[in-house]
Amino acid sequence: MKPWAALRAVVMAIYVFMLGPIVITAAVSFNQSNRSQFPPRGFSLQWWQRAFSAEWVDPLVFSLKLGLLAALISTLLALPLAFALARHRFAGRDALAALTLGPLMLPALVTGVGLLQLFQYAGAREYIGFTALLIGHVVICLPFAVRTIAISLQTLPPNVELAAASLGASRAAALWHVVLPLIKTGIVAGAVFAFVHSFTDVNLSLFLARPGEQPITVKILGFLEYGFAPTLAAVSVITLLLPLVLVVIVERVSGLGDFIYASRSRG
Amino acid sequence: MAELRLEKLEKRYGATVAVAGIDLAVREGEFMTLLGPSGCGKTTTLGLIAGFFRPSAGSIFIGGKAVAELPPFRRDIGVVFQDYALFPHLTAAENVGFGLRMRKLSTAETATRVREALELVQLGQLGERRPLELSGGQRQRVALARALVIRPTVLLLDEPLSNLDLKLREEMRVEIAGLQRRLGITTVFVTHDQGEALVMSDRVAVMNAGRIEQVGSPSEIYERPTTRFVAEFIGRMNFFAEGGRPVAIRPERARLSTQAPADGFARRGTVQQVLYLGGALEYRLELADGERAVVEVPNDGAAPRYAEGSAVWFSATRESCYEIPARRP
Repeated sequence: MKPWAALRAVVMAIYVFMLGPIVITAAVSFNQSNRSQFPPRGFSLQWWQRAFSAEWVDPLVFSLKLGLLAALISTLLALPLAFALARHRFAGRDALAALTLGPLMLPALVTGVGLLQLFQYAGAREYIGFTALLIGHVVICLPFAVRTIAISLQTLPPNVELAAASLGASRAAALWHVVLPLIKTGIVAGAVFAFVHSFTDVNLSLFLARPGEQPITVKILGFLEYGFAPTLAAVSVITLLLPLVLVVIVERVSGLGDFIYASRSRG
Repeated sequence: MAELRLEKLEKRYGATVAVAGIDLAVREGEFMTLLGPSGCGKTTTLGLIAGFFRPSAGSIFIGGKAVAELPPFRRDIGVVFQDYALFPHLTAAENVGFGLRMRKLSTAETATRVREALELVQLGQLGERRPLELSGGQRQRVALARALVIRPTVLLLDEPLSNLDLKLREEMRVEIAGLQRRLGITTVFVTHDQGEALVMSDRVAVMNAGRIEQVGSPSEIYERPTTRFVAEFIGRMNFFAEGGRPVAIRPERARLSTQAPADGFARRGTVQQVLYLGGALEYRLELADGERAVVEVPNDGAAPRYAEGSAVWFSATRESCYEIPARRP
């Protein structure tokens, strides 16, 4: 086989294994029978109707709220952290970096168990649910936001801040008029990564959810214990599309694609 | 009166001394060049004047006001950076208007002054372009307009020509120097290029190892260097010892002849190599005492030519011999 043919085969295989499950799930959700058959028998929207009942919409909305809030808070925390880590050398810098980026290496499962125990020992059991989930999600989303913002700070053209200062801009004005606009896409990218990470998390959420306060992923997992119904296929498609739609919108509005694909050179 | 004065200015980084206590007064409207090899402290000196970092010791006066403790945005300076440091997210016009916006000028006045500044650097048509859509030379002009439009007391130029190609660089030399004289703005220009320094400056401060070796007009530093470093760094120089005293002779001031000259400095030698430079011929000689010498003769059609291996006399008039102390006093 020629090298190009081999490469093409590998790419094809990646597409099949990446997109195949999604296509099958989407097809199954339109089944007429109540068995998850593929290829689907007949066509009906009954499973989609069930997917839009309160039973499923509530955890979906819960996940959206949790994800947006976790993304917002972790991005706001990440800004000063990224500045400190990317720009300054200070005592305890390595410790701060390890603490901030640590959750990236740690299984979220461990973080979840730890947080659950912490809330129990602290006698803050009533906070298990949304509050505990939010804290946990901020912890695991923070590294993504810090990393992307720190990278965009490092790609800042040299001397632009000095140029702003020489033109009469105070540090705050230089930050507002020069630095923030230039790292805007990095900030947005960090927030999007954080949101997606929160929205798709199961490991941590499993421990910190409670009935009535559970994200969609935990709900799906719970439902799976009773078997796989076409409803689940419909829910999965919605869960998949929601963050995708959000990312596309953000990309269009902010030119995020430039950041992710690094297609535009900076000068 | 001096618009810019440096007194015992010093900058140390730990044990490393970048600027070793310099005194310099730049007159109003003067074009002063800091010239020296890389690492001589010239860019550090410029950064100290701009306020990008604090001096370890000494004072800086701009327009009579002590500014060493002030941040850059309170110093009334304009800076053109080597990489231009334009704001990539703003158009050329917005770049130029940035300093006026920071000074909270009215929109109408800002627009007028931005237009004037862009016309001054012949970029009237390109105000709406972003830096990425401009050529190197055009970016350079935007950077210049951006620094000038705020009408600073002192204009600081940090090797602004080094990123341009040769032809454009030579054009911009003349253009920047002309603009500076037309506006009469006190200017400090940093370069390692002696050609730029000689062509553009009113005075040149030659720097070496954190110190100023000599300050003078271009012809003074070229024709009357006071230290061996200056003599060697600017142009080329033949060094000899005559009666225990050092003598220096520029290659273009030396003469070649077959007969011994009547007076002045003279040595017998052999032509080792002839280099054809187009506008001139360069002769490399070995003198009778084993020393080497270089002579540059204009290719004017009148001067006699010597083949390699010819026995010649190397000479110079007394006026063309510089006496330079071997070491800094």
